[in-house]
Amino acid sequence: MVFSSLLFIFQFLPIALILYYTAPKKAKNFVLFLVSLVFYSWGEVRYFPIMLATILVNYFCAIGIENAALKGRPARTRKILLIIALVISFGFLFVFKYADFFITNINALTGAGLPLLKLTLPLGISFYTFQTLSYTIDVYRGKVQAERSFINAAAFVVLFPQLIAGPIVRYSDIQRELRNRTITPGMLEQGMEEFVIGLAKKVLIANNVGALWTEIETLGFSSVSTPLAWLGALAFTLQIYFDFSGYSQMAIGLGRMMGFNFPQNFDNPYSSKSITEFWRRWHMTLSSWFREYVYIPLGGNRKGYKRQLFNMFVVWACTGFWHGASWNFVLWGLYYFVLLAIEKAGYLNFLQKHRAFAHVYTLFAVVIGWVLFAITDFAGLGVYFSRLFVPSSLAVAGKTVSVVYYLRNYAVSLAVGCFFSTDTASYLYGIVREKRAIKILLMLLLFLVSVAYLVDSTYNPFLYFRF
Amino acid sequence: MLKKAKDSLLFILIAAMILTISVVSLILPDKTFSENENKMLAQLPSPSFKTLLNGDFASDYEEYVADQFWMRDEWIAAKSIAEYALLKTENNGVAYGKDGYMFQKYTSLNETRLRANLEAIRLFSDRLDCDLNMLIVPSSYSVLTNKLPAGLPGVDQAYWLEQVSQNLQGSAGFVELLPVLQTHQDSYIYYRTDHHWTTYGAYLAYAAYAESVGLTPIDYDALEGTEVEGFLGTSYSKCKAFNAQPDTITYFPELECVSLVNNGEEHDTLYNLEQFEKRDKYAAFLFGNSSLVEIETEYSEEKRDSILIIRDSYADSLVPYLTAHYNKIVLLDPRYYNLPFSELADDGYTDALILMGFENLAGEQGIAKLGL
Repeated sequence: MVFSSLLFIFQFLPIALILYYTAPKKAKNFVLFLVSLVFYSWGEVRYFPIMLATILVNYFCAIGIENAALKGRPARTRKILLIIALVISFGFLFVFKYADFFITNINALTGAGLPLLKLTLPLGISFYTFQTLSYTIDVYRGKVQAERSFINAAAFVVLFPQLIAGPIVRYSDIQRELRNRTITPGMLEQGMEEFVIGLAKKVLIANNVGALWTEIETLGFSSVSTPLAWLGALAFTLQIYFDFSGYSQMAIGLGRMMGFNFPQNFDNPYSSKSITEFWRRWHMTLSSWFREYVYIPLGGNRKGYKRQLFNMFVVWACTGFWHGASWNFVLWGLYYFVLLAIEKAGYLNFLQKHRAFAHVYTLFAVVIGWVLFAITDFAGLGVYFSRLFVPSSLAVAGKTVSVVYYLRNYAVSLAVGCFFSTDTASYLYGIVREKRAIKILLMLLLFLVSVAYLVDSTYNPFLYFRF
Repeated sequence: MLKKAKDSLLFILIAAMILTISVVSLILPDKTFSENENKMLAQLPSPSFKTLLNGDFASDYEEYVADQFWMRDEWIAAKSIAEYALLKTENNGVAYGKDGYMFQKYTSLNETRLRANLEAIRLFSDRLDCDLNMLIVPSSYSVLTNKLPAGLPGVDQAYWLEQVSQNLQGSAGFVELLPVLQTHQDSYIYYRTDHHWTTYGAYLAYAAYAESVGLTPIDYDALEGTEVEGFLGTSYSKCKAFNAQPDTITYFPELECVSLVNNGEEHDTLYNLEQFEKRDKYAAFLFGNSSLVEIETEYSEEKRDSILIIRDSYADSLVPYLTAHYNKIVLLDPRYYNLPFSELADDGYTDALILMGFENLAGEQGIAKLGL
């Protein structure tokens, strides 16, 4: 089930919240666990056992690791338990997400002709695998205590707001709230505000501009003119941001309504003035996960420059690959590795002195990055880049689709999207929301219009099916 | 308590809204048909072990929730207004042109499918004893160039119609419609809110066909039309623009038949007058599009004996004119007609015609059945 659907907003959510609010304090996590399972299993009952296995393995391994430490067993015991949890959790992720990718590549290299598994990806597996493992690894490191209550541990793993598209909430983020939390009226209000803003971002902006990118895919990249190719790249850039950050914000809002404080995931990334800064403001919980559990364990920047470069390379190849089992995502990750390495080598100092240029450069680099991200086959990527950078010659001009109609149709939506991805818009909203009456009216309006778009929706994609 | 309520006012308001809508949607009896959208509404699906497991139940149920949503039509209108405010020139694939014209976007063509369909038509033509003619109707966007929104992208139908004509040379006569319709583009030849041509647009095509096969077309001005107001067509059903301008349908009661059998049901008229009262008014012609329609007209020795028409719904408003020239008219829609087409060759028709929209010719898999 996805948040931006009538089913979620008008059936699942009211029932889940009523059950949750009326349950006695001790039973709240149990209710949360049950409704989250329904949320997860809706439409994909088949994958229920995988979820259950993930929960059980990590629950028991974490307790085992802690017990071994308490009883002074050899370090090897703890290590083996951790490895079991890692192998099984990553094993599911590998089989469902990456097996076909490797089979295809092996077939291409050796001509082995192995059959593909053709499994559909369980909803949110990349997100919850990372969330769950953060828990077991932290227990292994002695950073958090193992959760002895099965219900609490299970509720953490399937917690429906953050289950399928982030933020990647670590156990340490919400450990205290899992055991004891209070919900104040202010939190309810704030949670609803975040949810409505997130919903509007997804339904009103992301879907609106995203339709342009889908149209370009339908037209076929070869028939796109150069200006239209740029407009399409801009549209995808806005779509992925508003879709993803909208989803995160809905999750944060839902969490708040139930007494949880999830970490922020996006901080106006398109206002960044370097790629380094961009990645501090884009999908922040993923970047910090990789820093915490990959980059630093590899030695981070403490083992010399060469080793640091290597560590960055690993992190960015993984980051790319995490986004989808296809080479273009790896390319996309490595593209950022190169840019970050260049910035680290001194370019960053230059950027800090030339703020306007820095902003233009960053946006340009990010838009190009999204083209790499959006087109999964290299042939299509080649065509699209030639459309972007080789102005349609006279010979091609008559046969390519001009930008005129699309500009006319999407201009306002794109402008709205551009405006609301700036720091200025956030600042202005900060002022507006001080006037409570205006804020409430604005939220009601956004909610109603979003619902109208959901009722008459022909285009409401869920972009993270690859993740 | 009151203080609490005040601090969470936004939450309370939206929660109340959600609850009201959910409860009312649940209590209201389910509707089966939407007049506004001209479509059957999804009904509560019953789960089975299989559909639960493969996710079909889940997606059917979500469709059900959306289709039976309380005040669905009003929400749709609200979206249309919001789109208008965003200066959108289209909604759900329907572009808004000048003077209230709506155009269904058609931006990609499956060349393989088109070639396969043409191959099937050649085979079909080889088997026929009589000559086969082609009357391929260009989509309104390729005719009404004065009414288009600036730069509307679309498959170049002039180019493809030329390809079709060349491809079928020697197998079928090709009646050029695009230039005929284009010269009349300032007349009311296509509906504003529907993809079909008007009764006058159909007349222009009929006249072009009649001349190409040596018949003298009846005089349009000599006919006395009856007008039906308030027609909102297929384009409207998709975009549901709040400011749509309804169309007027003209029909000619004097063009009549002795009997019309539409899918086994017999009538003695070409027009289903009751249908003019309903939303889908275009379906009044010939009692709607179906796999097989057989028409017998008042017998006259002056007339030709019979014509076989392989068609889609564009034929519905053109066929009345043909009653003046043929004693018998048989209409087959290859999308729904499933008997082998090779058997038709023995029925001894005087003329044969393929009369359909370009988009169906290029995109409909069913056309390939003509080769069977």
